[in-house]
Amino acid sequence: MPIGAEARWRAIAGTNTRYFDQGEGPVILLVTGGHFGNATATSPIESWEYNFLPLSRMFRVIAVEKLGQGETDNPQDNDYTMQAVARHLAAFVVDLDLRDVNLVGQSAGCMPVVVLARDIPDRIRSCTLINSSTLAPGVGMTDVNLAGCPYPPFTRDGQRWVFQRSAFDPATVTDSFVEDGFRVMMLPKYREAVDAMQKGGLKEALFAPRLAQLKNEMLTWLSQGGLKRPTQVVWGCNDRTASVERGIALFRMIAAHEPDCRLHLINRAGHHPFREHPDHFNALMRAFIEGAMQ
Amino acid sequence: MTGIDVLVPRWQTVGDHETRIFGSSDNPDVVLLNAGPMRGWVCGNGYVWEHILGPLAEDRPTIAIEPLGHGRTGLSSQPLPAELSEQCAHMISFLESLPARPRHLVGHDEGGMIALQIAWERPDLVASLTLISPLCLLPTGDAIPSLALAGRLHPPMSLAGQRWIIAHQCCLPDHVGSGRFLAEAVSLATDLLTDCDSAVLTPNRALAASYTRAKAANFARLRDEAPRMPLLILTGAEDRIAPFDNVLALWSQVLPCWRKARLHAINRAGYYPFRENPLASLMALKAHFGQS
Repeated sequence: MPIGAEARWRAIAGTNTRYFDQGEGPVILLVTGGHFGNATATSPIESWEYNFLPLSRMFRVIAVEKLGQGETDNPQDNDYTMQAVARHLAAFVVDLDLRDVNLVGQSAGCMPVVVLARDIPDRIRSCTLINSSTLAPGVGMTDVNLAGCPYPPFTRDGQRWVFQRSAFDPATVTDSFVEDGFRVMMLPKYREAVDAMQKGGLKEALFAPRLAQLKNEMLTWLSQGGLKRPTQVVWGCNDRTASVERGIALFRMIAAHEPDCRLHLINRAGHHPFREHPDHFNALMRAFIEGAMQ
Repeated sequence: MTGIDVLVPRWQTVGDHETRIFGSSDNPDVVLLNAGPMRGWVCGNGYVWEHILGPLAEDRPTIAIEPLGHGRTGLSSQPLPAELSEQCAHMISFLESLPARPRHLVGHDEGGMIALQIAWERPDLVASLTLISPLCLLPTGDAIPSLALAGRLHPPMSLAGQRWIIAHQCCLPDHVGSGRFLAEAVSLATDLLTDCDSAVLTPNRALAASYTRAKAANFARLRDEAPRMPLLILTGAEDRIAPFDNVLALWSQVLPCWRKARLHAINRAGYYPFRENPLASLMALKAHFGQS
């Protein structure tokens, strides 16, 4: 059982969506990172394997595979855009009739999180934003950091290399985590997405320009005080792709308008601080959610 | 234990000094150390913790102790300390008087400096370290160009003067008149004027110099090593006394060697984040203690 719970499926506007749902109480929705069409590595739902069950002892925790990620279907009509990802996630929240949702996004998962806070604010209670180059202002270094993978596409070695480049301590990258990512990469539908993005040119022609447009839109919205929910920005300080300075800039942007905003920096942590310091992250989440629900 | 119970002070002789303690536990997990009057600003005292001491004590045994020269500790044993080392020795004596085990030390500004020195010297006494608004530890270049406390009301040790200073140290001043912190600061100032050399109400230059030396020594030492216990730096993101940028500069010095280090910034809070936003501060502290 991935992350220790039975997988559930739900058709969201015709898109078969896989998710995991366990526990009772205030709702936490975990949104994984990852973009379409990465032939080197995926961002599996098992990213949360050290957090899902511990948090589900106090909360109802839902981990969902975004549009095109994990085993969730690819976009319909080749709509390989972050806008489509956010629409799918919002429809998921509405379909499950989730209320007072505490959103938790990491990396590329932060972008749909803030879009949901804008588009369906009546269902959102708080936001936790973790190490996101996709959302944070400043120069993204993902392409620089992950350039020159010494292994071929669609290999375990490539997946491991990316995970290790993303971590502070490469030893925290387990064989099973690598296998989880590799398994997703081997799915036929994942290969289809890679073909569409890489060979079909959708990455340059569609995904990247539309993402840039959405990022501009959301940073403007954030800087004008749109996000009016308790927010914590959590950042691993040793992230090569999303530097800590960008996390601080994101915090300042939100804090300029939202009084209940915190920044939490964790030393000796990379792109997945909740994997490298799971006990600390879980304690932080418990305290934050308890406060947000008061 | 209620918030009211823990704010009834008790006295304990530590070394040669009568020491004021808040909280009834004689085997505390958490020990809070308040800031002092070193800079001639506010007569710091243990009541500064009044909004979080009770809630913390409900979670785990917690006390607040006034370090030597802070609050009323040591007032009857003049002269007041001229060296940080005296304050540290006093605090180590107190910790050694407890059942032998490490404690979570939480220090506000100068209280944090004392706690950090103990972490270096006696790591066996410290389970974790929390530095709140650690002005005395911050990289400042030559000085922090802040006008936050310029043009103080006079006399500064009057009720209006102390209220003015505390309010201008904060981002949210709503808490200033609530509880007993301000009243005790004024009472303390009055007693000092009556009983002591009025010099104690001016900046304690000798003590401040010892803090400056200790700060430099910390910077040098942190290049190569750090204590092993977890560290939390808790700061108000709109602190004009210990500015967030300077706290981040301290953080950059801590990062290379301090393995378990975290920084938690609370928005809309200044020099007293635990008074300005007690709930957010409690959450950060409890998460820190829980993993230490």
